[in-house]
This record gives sequence, C-alpha cells and structure tokens, in this order.
Amino acid sequence: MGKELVFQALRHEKPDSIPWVPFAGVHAGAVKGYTAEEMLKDADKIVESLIEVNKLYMPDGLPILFDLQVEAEILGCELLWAKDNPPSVKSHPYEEGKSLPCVCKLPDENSGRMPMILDATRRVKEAIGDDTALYGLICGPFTLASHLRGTNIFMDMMMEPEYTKDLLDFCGQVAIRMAGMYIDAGVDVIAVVDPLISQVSPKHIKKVMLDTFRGVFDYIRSRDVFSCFFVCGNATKQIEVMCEMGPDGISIDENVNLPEAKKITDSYNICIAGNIPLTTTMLHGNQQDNIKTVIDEIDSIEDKTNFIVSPGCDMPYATPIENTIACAQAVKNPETSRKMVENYESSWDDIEVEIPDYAASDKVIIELWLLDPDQCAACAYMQASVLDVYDEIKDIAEYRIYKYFIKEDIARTQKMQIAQLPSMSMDGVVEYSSIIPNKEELLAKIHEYYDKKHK
Amino acid sequence: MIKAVLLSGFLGAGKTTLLQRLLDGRERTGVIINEFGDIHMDGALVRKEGIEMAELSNGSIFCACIKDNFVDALIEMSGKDLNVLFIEASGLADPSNMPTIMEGLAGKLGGRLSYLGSICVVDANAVLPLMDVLPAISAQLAYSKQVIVNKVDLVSESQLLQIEEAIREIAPEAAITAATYCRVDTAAMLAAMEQQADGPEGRETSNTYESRPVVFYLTCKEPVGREQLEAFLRDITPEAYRIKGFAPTDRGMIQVSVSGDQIVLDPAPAGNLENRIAVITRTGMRAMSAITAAIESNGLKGSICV
Repeated sequence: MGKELVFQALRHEKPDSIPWVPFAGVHAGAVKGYTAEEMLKDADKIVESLIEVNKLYMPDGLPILFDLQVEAEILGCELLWAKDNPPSVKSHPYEEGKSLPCVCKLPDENSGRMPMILDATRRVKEAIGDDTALYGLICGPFTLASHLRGTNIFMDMMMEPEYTKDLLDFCGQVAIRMAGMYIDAGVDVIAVVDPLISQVSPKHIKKVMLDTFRGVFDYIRSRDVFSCFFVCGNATKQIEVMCEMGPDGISIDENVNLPEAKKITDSYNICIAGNIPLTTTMLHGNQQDNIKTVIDEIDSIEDKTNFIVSPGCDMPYATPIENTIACAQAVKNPETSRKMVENYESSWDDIEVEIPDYAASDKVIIELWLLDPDQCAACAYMQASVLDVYDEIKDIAEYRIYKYFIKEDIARTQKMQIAQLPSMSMDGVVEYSSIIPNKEELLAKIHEYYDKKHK
Repeated sequence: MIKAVLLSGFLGAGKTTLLQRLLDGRERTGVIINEFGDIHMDGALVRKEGIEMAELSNGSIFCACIKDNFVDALIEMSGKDLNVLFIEASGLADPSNMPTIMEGLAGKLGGRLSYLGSICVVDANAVLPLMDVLPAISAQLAYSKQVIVNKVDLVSESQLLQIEEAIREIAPEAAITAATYCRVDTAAMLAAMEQQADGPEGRETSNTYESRPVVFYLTCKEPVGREQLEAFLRDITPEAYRIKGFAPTDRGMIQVSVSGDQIVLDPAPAGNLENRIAVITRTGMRAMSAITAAIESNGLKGSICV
C-alpha cells in the first residue's frame, strides 16, 4: 500500500521505498479539463479529478484541495477567481483599526465551501483512501492573519506584538477547527500550509508565533493523525524554528537546499518533503529534465528515512502530464531512470534577454523577481509593498515585474543570478531577498538610491 | 415594573452561587445568563420551574459581537409577567456601557422594565492581583451599587481591609459586604439598592473582540477516573482563568469547577447535562499544548479529547 510508505516516512521509520506525493491541486482539475474555479467549487469535479490523478501519477499521498483561501473566504475576504490558479485574496476585512473576527465566525461544517469540501473528502477517502494517504490542507495561522490584515501584519509584528499574537491565536483556533473537520472526514495527514513563514525572522517567529503553531501541531497529534508543515520561499533560516514547533514533517520548495535542510530536520527526527522545481522543471522542462531532477534529488540524500519526494509546492495548473509521470517514474524506478538521463544537460542559455542600463536611467529601477504573485502569497505581498507606495515615488522610481513561470523571465532571473524568490532589486542590486520591507524602510531605501544617482 | 439587576464578577468569583441565592424563594423571576463559549453550565445549575431563562453565549453581552442578542433578550423579558430580572454577566464583562444600553432602550421597553443597578462579586483571594491586569474588573466594581467580597475565609483580616480600601477607591458609593459562599441577606441588599443613587454615567466598554479569551472544549469519550481527572485538571490549571463543565467519571457525572488554583469536583445535579468541559484560557493557544501534554501524561489519551 502506497500510503504506508508515507506513514513510514512520517513515523520516521526506514521506508520500503521512497514515498511520492505530487501536490496536484488545481492541476488535478486541468487533467480532466476543468478550470481552477470549476474544480474548487464542485465536489463531483474534485472527486473525478483526484481519482484520475491517482491513476495517472501513482501517488503514495495526495492533497484533497490546494486552496489556502478557503478560510479567508469564510472570514469575509473577497476572492479573485482565476481559470488556471487557485483564487487570491482581494480584500482584507481587518485591515483598518485593530480588531479581531468574532468567535462566531470560527468555521464549522456549514461555513463557506466546507460542506462541498467535506463531501469531496469523504468520497475521495472512499474511492482511493485505502491505498493513498490523503492530505487535508489548511491555511497556516500567519498566512491567514495576513489575508485578514493585509501587509499591515508585517508592521504589526514589530509595533504591536500583543495584538499580532491575539490575531494569530484566533487564526490558530481556525486552524484547529479546520483540522478537526478534515480529520473527522478521514484524512491521514494535516498539512499546515504557511508560505509566508519564510518572510519572518526566526527571532520574531519565536516571539510572536511559536506558541500558536505548537498548539496547532499538538492538537493534530492528539487526534492521532500526522502533521506536515508546508512553507514556500527561502526558508533556510526558518527550518530550525519550524522543527521546534513539532510537526511530523516539513515540506520545502526549490529555494531551500534539500540536503542541508535535511541535516537540520534529521537532528529533530522530522521528515522532510520536497522540492522539485515547479516552473523551470515541472512546467517548462521536458521529461528528461524531470527525471534528472528527481534522480539528482534522491542521490543527494544519503539517509532515505524521513524523506518524501514531492513538488516544491502546489503544481502549476498547466504542468504537462508527461512531466509528472516522468517524476513518478523516477521515484518509483530510480535505477532504470538514472540510466535514462546519465549524460543529459538542460539549458536556458539560448533565450536572449536585455538587461536595463541602470546608470542611464533618471529614475531608480525597481525590479520585482517573483514566482507567480497570484499563487505565492509572499510574492503578492512583495509586489504590493511597491504598488502600495507607487503614487508617492512615481517621480523618482519605476518598477518592473518578472514572473518565474514566463520563460523569458526565468532566463532573466538566472542571468541576473537572483538566487531567491521573491526578491526586490534596485538598479540591479538585490536589496530584499524573501523578507518584505515595511513602508518606511522601502521609501527610505528608494530615496537613498535616487540621491545616489543625482549627487 | 420589572427591576433588572446585573450580576458581575470575575470567572469563578461566585456569581452563579449568588444567583442561586437570589432565586431562592423569589417568585416571578427572569434570568439572562451570559457565558463564555457555548457551554451552558450556569444555566443548568439554576434552571428550575417558574424561571424565565435566556442564555447568551460566545462573547460578552456588552461587546458589539452579541450586544444585539442581549437587547433582544431584554425586550422579550420586558413583555413577561416578572417582578425581577437578573442578568448574570460573563466573567470578563465590562459593563461600562450598561447605562447607555438602558437609556437607548427606554423607548422600546415602554416603562415596563427599569435598571436597578449592579451587584459585583469578587473573590477575596484573587481580586487584588486581577484588578491590576484586567481593566474589566475595575469597571465591574465602578458600576456596582453593591459589592460582595466573597470567600473571605481564605484571607486574613488585614488583607480584607486592604481589599475593601482598594474597592472604595474605585467605587466610593458602593456598599461592601464580606461573605463566604455568597451568604448575604439578598432581600436587604435589593431593598438597599432601591435607595441608592444611580451610578456613574455610561462609557465605552473595554469588551471588544480583543479582550476575549481563547476557549477550548474537552469531551470525555468514556467515564474517567475521578482522581485522574483531578490530576489532569491540576496540570492545566495554570493555563486557565476558569475551567467548568460536566464530565462522566467512575463515580458518576461530576460537575467540574476550577477557578484560580481551587479545583472543586462535585456530583453533578440531576438532568440532561452536556458532557463537556470549557477551558477559558489565560495563555491562549499555549494552553492547547499544555492540555494535550496533560492528557498524555495522565494516561487519558483516547478518554479525553479536545
């Protein structure tokens, strides 16, 4: 049984073979020809899509629904729906003042899309749950707090730690409710997905968030299911404090060096999952790229306990089916796959990009290096940090946005040697990497660059 | 004309005991009970024949979150044939806006209900340190005509003097009565309130969403050992302002009441009681970790669930 492999990894036992958990979220809908919106609003389509994906990709585990906006929607955030992405949060109902949502808004089985989601969960459990570990994904407390509060949350952490803690505790209670409902519906693993954690210093995480996250993971453990902590972005510095929160597993993306991170998770006896690059490999690569990436990843890990192969995060909607099949093939048959790509090299060098002439520009050129801002919350907030102040700076600065799912932008990102996404550079110098600046800080930095140009 | 009396006091100070004494022997009474969370333990303890009851949960009646329900309940009660209406506020209620609410309602109540004032119960053993950290406690005192310093057997005479002095500073007009188990002459107290002047004018309440503690609920999946339950409660006591509810044990259904470090486990009253314990936390989500650890360490895994 495939799911037993996932359990072995999360129980920290030596697995019979390496488990494979493709995070097919809206991509599962794409496989059956449904848009993201169609799939995320319809239990029949979720069930149909997951059954299909389960057949195609031979997974040992699968998420039911990869949509971090379910909770935000219940709590009053407006969503912007897309065809090829999960929805994004359009409004932040607790942006003004300093208030918390009423406890009467804590989700239950009748809130928002929950009746549909729980119905789908029970049916997927019935259909494929004997063989495949099912992941119930919930929005992590910090990302949910940012949905409610907008970019203010970053300032709150510094200026209003007590309020931030109260808001996080509310979001922690939401997480517990959500986890409880998924567990009652039969999931095997609760994934606490908090992409934004990589944007906060470990010091602040300890000060403001540790108790909330520990409470969530302790609750999940008390319910006798496994927990996994999903993060996006360069969370290298945060891995240790994430381990201290006590999940059974941690899931990382390509921004983190897997073998290095595994040394840390191993020291806490916590499982690590990751980190096939989503766009360069899964979306835009070919089958050989995918096989090679997975084989390289497996070969980079000496001790195969506490290890799950999976994409870095939610797979892009349009990921070619054959690429995911190639990943599955590589995880399940590493020996033959290794031979297939022995002498293979991939390359992005043949795409031409022109680098701006920073010195010649009268204005400061701000460049935003993002993954997909509609899908990656940290990227959205990095982008918003500039757009929010643009009116104040438009006479002295201009901005450009690059998205790592567009081939030219990938080539540009590599040519500029941008190592971490999201990042922000000014006149070609990376100033903010993963960490989102607050408004005052950002304005000061732009003025500093402008003054330098006009001395 | 129905006289409305507000009962305030911190979690575990003795409001429900006072309410039981006030209801004892009185006819045509109405009760509005406001509890944290949606566990209706206080209601279960005072419910009896001939009492009109309304229970409001999930926040303070003075907070915007459920104030509308409170107003509706007052209007409904004003239409009933009652002599007196007791309103038991939740432990962290800040009643500063009670006068404002009553003024605003005057038209809708049509002279059928008038506000007599508030009785505040404080726990002699805990009130001084609590006054320092919780603004709601001072507001409860400031807006009361009568203050009962309860559980005086737990403090010395000099401590009692200190407490009375601190209360007088906040509520100079209030009458102070020392008591154990809220044993007071309730008739004399209500009569005295008729003679006392109205309290201060209404202000904004400090009861906002923020001042609301995190509440977790525990359920026993099977009867648990009484000693085990007590040991478990002792472990989580530091995390909670108050723990209360009902639990099935090897010695029958038990009423759990924890305030401060005092754990009281009594046989539960007869009736259809919900198997649930509410933990009104002091430490927020950290309490969840303490609860799950205490479940494990006391061998209650599978027996008590969050």
